[in-house]
Amino acid sequence: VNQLFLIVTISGRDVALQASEVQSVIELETVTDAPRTPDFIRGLSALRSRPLTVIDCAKSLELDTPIVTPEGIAETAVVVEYNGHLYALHVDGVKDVTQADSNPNAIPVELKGGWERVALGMVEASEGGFLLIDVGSLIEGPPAVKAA
Amino acid sequence: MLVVIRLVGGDVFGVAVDRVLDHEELVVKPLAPAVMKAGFYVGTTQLDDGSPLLMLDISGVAREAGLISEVQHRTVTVDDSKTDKEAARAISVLLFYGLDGVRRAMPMSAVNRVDKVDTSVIRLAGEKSQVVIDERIVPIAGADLGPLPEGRVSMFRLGDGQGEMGYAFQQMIDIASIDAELSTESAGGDLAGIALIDGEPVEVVDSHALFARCMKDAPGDLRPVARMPGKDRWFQEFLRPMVEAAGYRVVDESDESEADIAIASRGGSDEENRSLPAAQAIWLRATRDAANKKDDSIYRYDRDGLMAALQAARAGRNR
Repeated sequence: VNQLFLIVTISGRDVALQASEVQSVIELETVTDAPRTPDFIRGLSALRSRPLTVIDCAKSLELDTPIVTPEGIAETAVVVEYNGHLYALHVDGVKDVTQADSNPNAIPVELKGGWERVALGMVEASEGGFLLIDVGSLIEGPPAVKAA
Repeated sequence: MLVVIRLVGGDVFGVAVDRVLDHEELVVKPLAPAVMKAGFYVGTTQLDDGSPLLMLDISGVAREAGLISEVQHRTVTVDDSKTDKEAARAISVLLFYGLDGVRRAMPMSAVNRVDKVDTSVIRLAGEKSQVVIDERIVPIAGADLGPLPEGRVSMFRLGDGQGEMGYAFQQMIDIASIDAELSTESAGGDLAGIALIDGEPVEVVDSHALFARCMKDAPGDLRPVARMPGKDRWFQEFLRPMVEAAGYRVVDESDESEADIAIASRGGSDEENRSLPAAQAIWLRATRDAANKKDDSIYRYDRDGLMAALQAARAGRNR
């Protein structure tokens, strides 16, 4: 069965999100800092009258490369709902919406860092294979680091 | 600049701020769990321009600063892995004076927050007293222990995670920690037992018993109840809308709830009237003029007279 996927770029890597999980793609405007929260939480924003928790996808994945917004476009985030709360996943940008078989294939290589934690498999689209990302794991962030 | 804050338990401390901008009533919305976990926020709201604003959890800030230790928290679960035996047996309570002036202790775990409410939203009916909280009618305890003060009364908002109820009291005294093992000889009713605090006996409220007693009834109706003949079409079709407009819930003889007032025709049979039990009665007569001076009935199309009688009965009920 074919299904729609949203192709987004996180720290330079193109990955797939299930389109059914995505509510909208927005330009990030005011983001209010939320001090003392985990690093991967960039802060708070709002979509219409609902609060949005802004997730820095690069930090959630513990990547060395930060999210980079290409010149000429605004900061982009993908809005998803998870456990009753709205989240804005801050990404480099959104590439495309594509169709692919809904059953992801096994991942042929060993993934590095946080990718291993969030990857559900590979989806094969006409544009090529993309890592399918579990939105929940992205939102949960890295496992809590024990306070030193 | 300092903002001086008094917490629920009475702790007073200051928060240094750069500037005070405004004070506003806010609609506070829930935060994502990862943000809540910080322990510094209770929710978020939006300013007029749409920008989000975090609402600080002052007791969380105070706890982090080491200013309070025993104030429990509703939103943050503190992992207390090093609880020793002694601490496990102690429970935190709020000490207060009940409306009857008796010193009591309320287990903190049952208290969601402390509020002041207008006494007009409390309907006194002994053990079935009710209060309006956030446009809902919930049971209230403690309100019948003594006279309600003029204007506003302090109230605990108690919750068991599902239901909510109120508990009216006179004055908050302090937060205390008591030994969970109470002297239970006098336990019963809403009383879990007696604890010793600073050498004085204090009644400890049994929150389980409170909820068990008050939650068994479905949320009721604060409106006063008027009982009138159910089969009489004039009463049901002519009079009922007016009585309902006057703020009454209308029942007939088949309903078992206690009525505040009965409305019936003067001259109806005794049997008919006995079937309309109520605290007071309004009698209606078919003729414009009263039969004699003793007749306290109201002509049934005397709208002003009827309305006045309905309102008087309502006012009398709240006394």
